[in-house]
Amino acid sequence: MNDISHSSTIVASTDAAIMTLPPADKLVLEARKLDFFYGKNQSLFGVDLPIERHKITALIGPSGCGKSTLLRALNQIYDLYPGQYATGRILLDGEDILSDRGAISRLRERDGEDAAAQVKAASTDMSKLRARVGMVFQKPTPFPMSIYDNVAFGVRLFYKKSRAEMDQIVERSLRRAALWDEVKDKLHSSGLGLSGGQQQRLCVARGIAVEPEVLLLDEPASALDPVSTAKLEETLMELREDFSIVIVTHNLQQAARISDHTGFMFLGKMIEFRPTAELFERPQSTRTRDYVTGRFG
Amino acid sequence: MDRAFRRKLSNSIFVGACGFATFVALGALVLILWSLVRNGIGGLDLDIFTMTQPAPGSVGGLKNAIVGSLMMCGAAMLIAVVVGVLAGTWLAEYGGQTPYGHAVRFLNDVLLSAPSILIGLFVYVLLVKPFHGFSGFAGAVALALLAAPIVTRTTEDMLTLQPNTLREAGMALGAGRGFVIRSIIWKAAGAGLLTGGLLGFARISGETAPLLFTSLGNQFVNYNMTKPMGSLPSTIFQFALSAYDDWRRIAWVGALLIAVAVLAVNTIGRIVARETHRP
Repeated sequence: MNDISHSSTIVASTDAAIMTLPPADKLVLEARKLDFFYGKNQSLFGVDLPIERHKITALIGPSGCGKSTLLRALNQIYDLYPGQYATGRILLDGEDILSDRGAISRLRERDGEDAAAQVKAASTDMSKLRARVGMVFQKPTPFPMSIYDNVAFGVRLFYKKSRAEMDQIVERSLRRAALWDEVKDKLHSSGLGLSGGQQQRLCVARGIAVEPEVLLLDEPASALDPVSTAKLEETLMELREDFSIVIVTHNLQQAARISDHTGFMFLGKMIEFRPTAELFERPQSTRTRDYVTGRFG
Repeated sequence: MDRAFRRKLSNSIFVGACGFATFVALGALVLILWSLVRNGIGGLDLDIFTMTQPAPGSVGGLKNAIVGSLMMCGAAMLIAVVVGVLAGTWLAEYGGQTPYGHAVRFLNDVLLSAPSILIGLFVYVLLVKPFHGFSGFAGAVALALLAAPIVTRTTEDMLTLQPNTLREAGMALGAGRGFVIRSIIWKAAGAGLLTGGLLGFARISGETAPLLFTSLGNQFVNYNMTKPMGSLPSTIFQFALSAYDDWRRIAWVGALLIAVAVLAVNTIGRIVARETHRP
């Protein structure tokens, strides 16, 4: 870990992030100068990340660069684990969600009173936050229950729906996740019986059933075969119309194929964030160029 | 000797040793079951279930002992499963890594191997002496103290096996921690939790020592748990050591009944677990 913080101070001194920002009024979610700590180990260093509404934003970078950490900070899923915390600002629809007392006092310590004063103290309701910012994981995580109940799980947490309404929600979510045709005859059999690719699309269906604003995907295709990957990508492209999507991926072609914006991260810092075509065709940082041309990583 | 031959030789020696060990273990089990069936099946008739234990030389059955065993084991398992599952869940999901959690786990392991007769004496001091009487309830508590550590241990192990991503996936949908545990993690670990219960039941179903000081025994059928109660193991103990052939015959039947009950509960449990977990 020493190694990482050491090299990243070099990064900090040599170049600032190269950012081409989407229009401010189109942002749905935004991280500003975000630091992240696993206990004493810092793994994000002042990262900025703007997420444009109804677009796909991809995060790329070598293993251990902090892209998954950044994703996990956005819906604060890290708060399951004691000792993990973030400092900085995260805005969802312009409202601070990193606004508990500890976060504000850390911000005050780092950036001074003026910065801390901008954040209105409020304890964020984690359930509501996660209903608004959904997440799909690297390995498919179907719950040990029927396909139907998997999709209905999140909805039942927040709404009391009649059987007919729930049937509609389940069908709609499965259709949007491009899974309906494959499972419509076995909705009440276990979700564990599906193939890996189907399980992953089931997780996407489950995530969008609660109509989140943002859907975070952490290398969702890395455990899938090429055919399943293609289906999942197709699904994501269609979902862009209704949701804002952030995807972490190791697969550069995947980022190039489906995303509108791409952020390249290295050693816990955002190196370059630009529209995808520009970043891949005319990378401005030498690090980005080396990575997207396959010289390292 | 060339290398390939040496490898083949050591492989076949090892496989042979494994096979022999399996044969010894299974052979002992088969012998036990065989002698139980051979000696017990002859005396197994309706009277065993409908009549209470006889005086030497007269006709009788084991109804008092069967009723007592069923009630005490049932009550004990109820207590053990509730306490064990909750304690195991706490250890796996909440406080397992705190100093208090480590202490609880250590004491549970000690309890796991505590001699059952000590548990009986403990409950005698706790529940028999102060209330001036032996009771089925005291027997059930003693049995529960034997089963609960097993359930606790198995529950913790099985829940720890569940991947963290499953918990995260539940929380990522906005569910609270407790709800995720109850509705996802317990379900995912269902077969394992059931195994814990079965192991606990198997442990207590044949216990005699802890019942000697607690439920005492009762030669009449008794459904009142505040009074002394008969039980299969204690009746077997009493009858098997007696000088009367007919009592010894009934003891064999009782032993067969316990073995069959444990076997049946295990088999049914496995089938239920498999059916509910079929993908």
